[in-house]
Amino acid sequence: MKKILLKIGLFIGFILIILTVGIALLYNKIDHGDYYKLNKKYDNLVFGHSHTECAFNDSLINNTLNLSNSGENYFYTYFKVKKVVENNKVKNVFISFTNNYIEFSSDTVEIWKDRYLDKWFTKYGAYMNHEDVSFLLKNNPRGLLNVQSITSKKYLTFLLKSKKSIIEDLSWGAFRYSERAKLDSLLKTKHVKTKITSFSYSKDGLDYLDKTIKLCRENKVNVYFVRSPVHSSWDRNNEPYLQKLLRDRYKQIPFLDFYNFPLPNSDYGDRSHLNYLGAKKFSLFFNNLLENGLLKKDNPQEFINQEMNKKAIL
Amino acid sequence: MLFNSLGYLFFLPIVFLIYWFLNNKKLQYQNIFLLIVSYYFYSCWDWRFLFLLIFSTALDYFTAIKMFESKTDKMKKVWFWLSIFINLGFLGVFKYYNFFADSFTEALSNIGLQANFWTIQVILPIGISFYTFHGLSYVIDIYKGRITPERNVVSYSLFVSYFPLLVAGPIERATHLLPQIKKKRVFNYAQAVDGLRQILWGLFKKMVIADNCAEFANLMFNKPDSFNGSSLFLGAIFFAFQIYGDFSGYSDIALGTSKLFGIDLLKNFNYPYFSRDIAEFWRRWHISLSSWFRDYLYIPLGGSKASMMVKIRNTFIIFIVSGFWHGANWTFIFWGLLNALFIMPSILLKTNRNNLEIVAQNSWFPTIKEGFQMLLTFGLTTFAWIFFRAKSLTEAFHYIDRIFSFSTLSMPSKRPSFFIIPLLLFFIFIEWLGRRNDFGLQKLGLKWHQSLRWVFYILLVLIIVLLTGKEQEFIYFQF
Repeated sequence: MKKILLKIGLFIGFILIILTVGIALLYNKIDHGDYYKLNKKYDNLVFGHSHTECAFNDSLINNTLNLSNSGENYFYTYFKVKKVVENNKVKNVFISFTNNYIEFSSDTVEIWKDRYLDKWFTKYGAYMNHEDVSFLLKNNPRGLLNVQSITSKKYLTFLLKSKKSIIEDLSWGAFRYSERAKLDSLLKTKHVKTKITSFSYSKDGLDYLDKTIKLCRENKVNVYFVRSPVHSSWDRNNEPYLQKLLRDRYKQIPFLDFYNFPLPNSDYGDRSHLNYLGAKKFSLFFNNLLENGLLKKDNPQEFINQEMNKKAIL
Repeated sequence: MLFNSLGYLFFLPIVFLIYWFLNNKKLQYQNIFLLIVSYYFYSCWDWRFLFLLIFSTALDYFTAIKMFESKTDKMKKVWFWLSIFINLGFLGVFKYYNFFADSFTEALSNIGLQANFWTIQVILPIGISFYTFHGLSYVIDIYKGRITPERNVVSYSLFVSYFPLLVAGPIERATHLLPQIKKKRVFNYAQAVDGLRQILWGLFKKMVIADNCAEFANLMFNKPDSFNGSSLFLGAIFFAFQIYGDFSGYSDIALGTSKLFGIDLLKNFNYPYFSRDIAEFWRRWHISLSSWFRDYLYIPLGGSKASMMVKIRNTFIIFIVSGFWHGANWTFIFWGLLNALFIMPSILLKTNRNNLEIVAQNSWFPTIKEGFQMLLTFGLTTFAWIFFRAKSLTEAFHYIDRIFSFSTLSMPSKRPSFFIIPLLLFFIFIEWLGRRNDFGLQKLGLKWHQSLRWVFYILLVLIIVLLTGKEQEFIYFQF
């Protein structure tokens, strides 16, 4: 009995040492490899979740690349921005800033639950430092252990295939060409807007948004918050909290708000996402704004509103 | 709690240590402990169904004693049929009721009659088909006078609920398992190491082979219209490896786990894909179920000693019933029927017992003829698996229709991950090397230097950890 316990202990010890060292080396290789160059030079990058993913058709916007990914929390966006910004010469970064990503619930739901770890840790796990890993470990130790094998497999596959760009191979984000057109049918269903009785701001998500802003500044990259078009029926009952956040915590960050962008219902996939028709109109409009010096204006929002009004009148 | 989960990784060593700590005490302590652990293991799935398991155990325990003590044949029959009726009744309600209700509704609507049978929304209790069959074999054996009833309620309950076999078999026999339960287990180093090796090989089969093949097979079967014929052809082959890796991997982990507690379970797989005909395949695939149907259905129906017509009838019956045992769907019935058709030539030509020994028993390689026979058998079983995997018969025929198209002559439009093919070749190689043993890894490397053997095992663990596929539930849990 003692003999078998000793042997099992020794065997498990060997395995743990080899695995820990092996995974650490693998992550280090990924982190320090030359895999983060974009396929061409871009001045503007768009980051965020499904709203920007469906709205910014980067083929219609000059020098712009959309790297949004649906469901991606600021926590994970930070690592993506870090690798892209540190390895490419970028001038401006647009980050999605919407009502659904400032609430506390987005922290618990979209950072450490198993399915989110499976989706995001497998992309950005190699870039996390001790503090980031401890944070995940504290909240979902079992999930974090489970996800190591999928992550290693993904990275190993990438290395063995000798691919050049991890951004493309591991699908870090792109414009989503959505053909959905469900808004009219959704509007026919009863939609009760919820009333806020208590509100808690996201903690960890916004902390990592702060880190993202700091990182961009250190790399001399301008940061803009952007709210892409959403339908008026979309639940925005926490709007006062969003505005307060912008006034108090992010007053240095220009907020480009396209909430009121005039679009017919047929251009929406649903209440908060554009389909390809809406994306085309919005992206052409956004490109036009950029061409006309949006980012050089003292009050970009005023310029946006003027241009949106003109478009609405037309 | 899945065998390949982190939870089980903690559960098993704890149970192992406590179990052997109790070793110096009484046999009864060992059994009580294993029973408590087994009920805990089962309740991790759904504690509500634990009551059903306990009820089913109690039913067979008491009816068996009553049947044995009956003074008249009539009373004996009453107790016997009561047990059979209730056991099959539970199985019928939980597993088959909706199938029959839907099928009758559809059949009546086809002849212009409207009927709306009441259907029930209920989850299938995990392992019900397995533990019901445990109980049935026990009751039948007592009725036939082959064994006497077990009076110790703990021993009997453990026979039904022993956790390594509780949720997906192997389907044990009282004659094999009960004597082991009634004997005090003494720790056996060689048996425990053999068990660990079998668990390792089972994990490799499940997590590396089955789960990786599943990713590709699922893609093909879920969206057959999106891919060309050659991709779908590959998808069917991958499913054949998935189901083998999944179920035989599960069985290996179950058998290996049990060896750690000093109990040997029935062998469930014996290299079925090296079979030279369908009859041999069925002697090697899910052996505990095939032999159950042979002993409790085929032989009572007349078996192979009756006329050729009766033999053919019996063969169709057991294959169709076996298909239906797997699930309440026409696809499983058709799968059983197809296998009955495939086995017919060897029944008619009386060659069904030609290949009793493993292929190339005394040589390294099979003959060309044997190689061809193995390929043909694998092809036929893979074809039948399409029905097993598809959600409906229409879907299965559509899948096959797309395979038998000109697009199968072109290169696959979707290829599996590049490392799966080398892993599959490695897997087949190890299985081939170990085909004369209980499991592929059993004797491999035993004559090597210990350090080399450890390197090999460590490499195997690393492959399991690093190249595992997306976690999939064991296929046979649904049955």
